[in-house]
Amino acid sequence: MKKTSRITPEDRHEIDQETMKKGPLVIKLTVCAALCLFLLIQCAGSKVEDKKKGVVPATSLIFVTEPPRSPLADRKQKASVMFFVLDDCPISNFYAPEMSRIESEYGKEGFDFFFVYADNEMGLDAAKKHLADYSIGFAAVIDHEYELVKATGVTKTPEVAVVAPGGQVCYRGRIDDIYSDLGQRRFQPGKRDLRLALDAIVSGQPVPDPETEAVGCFIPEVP
Amino acid sequence: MSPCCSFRWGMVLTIVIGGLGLLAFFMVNGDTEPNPSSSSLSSMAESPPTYHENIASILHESCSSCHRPDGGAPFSLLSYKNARRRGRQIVQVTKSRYMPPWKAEPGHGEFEGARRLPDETIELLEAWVQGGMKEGDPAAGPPPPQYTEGWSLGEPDLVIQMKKPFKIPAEGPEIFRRFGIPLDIPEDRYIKAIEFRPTSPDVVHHVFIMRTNANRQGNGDGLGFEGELLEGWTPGAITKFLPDGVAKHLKKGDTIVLRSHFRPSGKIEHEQSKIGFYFGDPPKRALTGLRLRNNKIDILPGEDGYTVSDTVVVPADTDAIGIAAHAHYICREVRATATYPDQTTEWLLLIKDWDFNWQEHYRFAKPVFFPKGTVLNMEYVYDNTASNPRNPFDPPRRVRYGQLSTDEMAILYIEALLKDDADLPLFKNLLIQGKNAGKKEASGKPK
Repeated sequence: MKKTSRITPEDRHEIDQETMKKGPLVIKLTVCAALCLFLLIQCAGSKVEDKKKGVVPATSLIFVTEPPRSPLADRKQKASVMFFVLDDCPISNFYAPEMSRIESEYGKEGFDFFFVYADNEMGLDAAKKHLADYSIGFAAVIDHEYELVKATGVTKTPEVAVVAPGGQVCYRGRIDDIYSDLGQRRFQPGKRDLRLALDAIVSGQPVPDPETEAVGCFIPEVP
Repeated sequence: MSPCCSFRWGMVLTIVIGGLGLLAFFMVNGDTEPNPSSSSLSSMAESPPTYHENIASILHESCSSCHRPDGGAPFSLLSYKNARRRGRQIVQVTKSRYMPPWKAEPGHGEFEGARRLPDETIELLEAWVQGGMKEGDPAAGPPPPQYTEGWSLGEPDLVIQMKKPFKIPAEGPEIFRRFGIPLDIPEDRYIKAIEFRPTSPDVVHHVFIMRTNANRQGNGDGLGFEGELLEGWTPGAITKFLPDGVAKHLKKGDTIVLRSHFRPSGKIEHEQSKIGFYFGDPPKRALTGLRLRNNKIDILPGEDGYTVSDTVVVPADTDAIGIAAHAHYICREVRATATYPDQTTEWLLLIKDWDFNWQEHYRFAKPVFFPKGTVLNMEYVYDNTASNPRNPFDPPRRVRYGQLSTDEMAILYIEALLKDDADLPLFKNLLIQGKNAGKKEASGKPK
């Protein structure tokens, strides 16, 4: 596996260490009722943890796009939106155009979008080719040690996690309900869960349904 | 007329084919009859199953014909490493019986190459995953099966290809197109097998391969192209030779019409399908078809249990060798039976969970003899409620008979060998029905 894009310590972006340590606890979907506010939105008072960001843990992420940016770094966005994908999952590939549309519509609302290859065997060149094939024009990383998978609790692709700057997972699950099961795709989705969640965050409302069941391919087991 | 056609070589019909209504005739699946090792089952309690001892043979026999490099499926399952990556996925899709795709209910017709996994096999797969997906001793298991690169039956006698690539956009509705591909054969040939190979497997939902005497040159714009059905293909179909003494006739001057159904995959794709032909001797027995159908379909939104049926009386002794059903998304159940002159009734095919994506041409394990006077019966049940997960529309819409996949159809096609070729004309009326009946050509006896 290529690791040519492994970043140097200087390049490393800050990852909220507490978030990483807490692991599954963090993924508890504290409903982001207090999410509201315009900038620096945070779920359930996780700002305290941000203060501890002095110690930067070594990140295992491979940055596919420039400049290297980590979805869990402290920044001023409303939230990071991570699309977890596999390049050989037909369902996550099917969603590529919709992911791009959501990014272009909600990127300007202050969300920060990431295309996350949840694959311990994904190579950098393959990822770059895949991004080009599917016309993905936003930041992409390879989560080959499942840092982000563990921090968010996702299990499948495509699955999305919306994470507030403090590390709280405000939404986790499907993009919409167009698939009711493997191989069962309607012509149009009835409920666009991710858009509803982002709309709620934009308007300072609680995310109506912070956890939904994704239909797709299981993230490969770690050997 | 309906799209179902005879494969008969001497039967000089131009079958007029419209829309989606074709029966898929696939060379039926591989010889995959997975057998769980009973010794391993009994010892499961003490030590968890291992890949090499218990799992490899299941995956090799039931999965890897598609799940291998260049096999058409999204990922390979040929090695321990590959299988381990997909452990949870394997358990999920086998328990739900989404994989391997095999819709025929056991005990209702016996078929060659049945891919249905026994319950014990599914339990064994789950026990392997729950037990930590142990590798075990490589010497204790079978080596991975060897697959030929490229064409599965070896180099075909003739390979043709779409003249140019056809572009499929990244997203949008399903696309139906017809392509004319010249054959340029110097004399009549007899087909023993046809293999279809897409260049972009992700977007090809299914195809029908037809022959016509007309000169057809279009590349995706030939909406009116028609022909006699030679073969159907869906992902997972495995190419096999026709039985001894049976072949399909290809005539000098014929053009192949490829009817393709594409589904966008998320990226722009360019498909330029290839078709390989394997030729052999002229046939010894005439092959014909028996078709049952019902076009009077009108299902209100929310209606469940809507049923249509049809009956055909077999006009002369035949040996049925294959059966295929065709319907679209909201069909739920397919039932086919034969009632013999002695009034006994036998199941030919039962599908309780019809899936438009996995239409199959089932070939009987042994030919099923239909004496003259046998009554064939089909009954299709539809579920147009929102709770039908395969209903493409929510809320449901009124669905009527039609060629689009959002319409519905009800066709059952049985492939049969005649006892006596002279009986062939008796079967013509069973195939040529409806508005296109006048388009048949003169009949001809096979040589």
